[in-house]
Amino acid sequence: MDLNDELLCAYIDRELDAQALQDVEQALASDPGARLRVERLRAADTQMRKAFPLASAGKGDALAEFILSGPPQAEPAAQHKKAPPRRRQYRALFAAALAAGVAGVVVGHLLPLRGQAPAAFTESKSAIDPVLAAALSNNPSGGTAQATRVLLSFRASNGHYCRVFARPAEEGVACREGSSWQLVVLDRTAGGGTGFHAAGASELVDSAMDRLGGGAALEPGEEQALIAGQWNAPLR
Amino acid sequence: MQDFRRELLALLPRLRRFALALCRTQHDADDLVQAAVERALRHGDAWQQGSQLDSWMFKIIQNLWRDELRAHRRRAEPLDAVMELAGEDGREVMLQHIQRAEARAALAALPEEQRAVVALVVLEGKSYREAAAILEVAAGTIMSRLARARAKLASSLDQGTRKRRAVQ
Repeated sequence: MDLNDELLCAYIDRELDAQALQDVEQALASDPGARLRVERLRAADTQMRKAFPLASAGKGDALAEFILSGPPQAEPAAQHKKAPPRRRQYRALFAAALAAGVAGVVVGHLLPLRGQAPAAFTESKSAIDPVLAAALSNNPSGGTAQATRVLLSFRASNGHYCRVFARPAEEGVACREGSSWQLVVLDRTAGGGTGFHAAGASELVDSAMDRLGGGAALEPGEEQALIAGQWNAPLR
Repeated sequence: MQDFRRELLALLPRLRRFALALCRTQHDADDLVQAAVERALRHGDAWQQGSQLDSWMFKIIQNLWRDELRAHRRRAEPLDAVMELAGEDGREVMLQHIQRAEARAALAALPEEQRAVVALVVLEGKSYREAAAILEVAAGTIMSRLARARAKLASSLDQGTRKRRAVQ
């Protein structure tokens, strides 16, 4: 009997019928090499399971909360709660900015940040320069002015509107508080880097967006109304 | 709908594990699971109560990931660092971290279709027939992919063990 790997796998996975199982067990009894292969394959399975343990959803798990409170399929769209603005959307917009050539300079500077000491970023609320403030107030998402591209806007869980932006060599999140923009995070690195990594841009921005919570990116019409009203819409 | 949500919530750890095995990076796995959950909530009426929600979700995840691969023609990306040993003591703990990193790296080195089979059969304990239905291939294909994948995994893991012994 040819105890090949396919047959041994089926044996390990209990996929054999009674007759085949009996045949394989008999063959294994007189084939120490095949028994050793079964042991190796089983050991690999065990190691694989240990490497991918199940982690239970903890408190504050945004996706778990979304599952419980998100939109039922039957609800009208206007009542839908939106998914948190996640990295996918942010990354896609960042990639689009790159494709447009606008944020290309940023690429080499953001990526080396992973794993480095956070010497080159700011993460506390602070006022921002007037040029950036003007861009945040007036640029629609995807629009570029004065070397600033706004990637997306969203409403944080505290009701404030926030915008993610990219400029040459820096990227960040700012939120509207009263009549001014406050910088929540600014990722700015001076080091060089190589190439675009499809997995995304700034983890600091990712993390800030997660902390701010709230809904998905604002629709263009909604954003346009806020721009027209100078972001002074009352908190809902 | 609430039953559906509760079942979906209970599945979340398994969906995350499956996605991580497919995508190899935690960020991509998080995004993939979120996209799958959003799709499931939008199309919850397509799921029949009493039928296998896990298989349905695995299929959604697998399809989304295929779309992602097609759309972006992704190449292999580095595995997220899993050997964060700082601050932990003891050879045993260190060995466990190393073995876990080796196992993840070994899985990450497999072709995408073999990773999916390993995730479903070895991690999830799905039968060949169930795995074949989720991946929309013949059961024979599952068998051959699994045999090739397991042989490579065992070989990679043996290699790691030998290297560690050589430096001891």
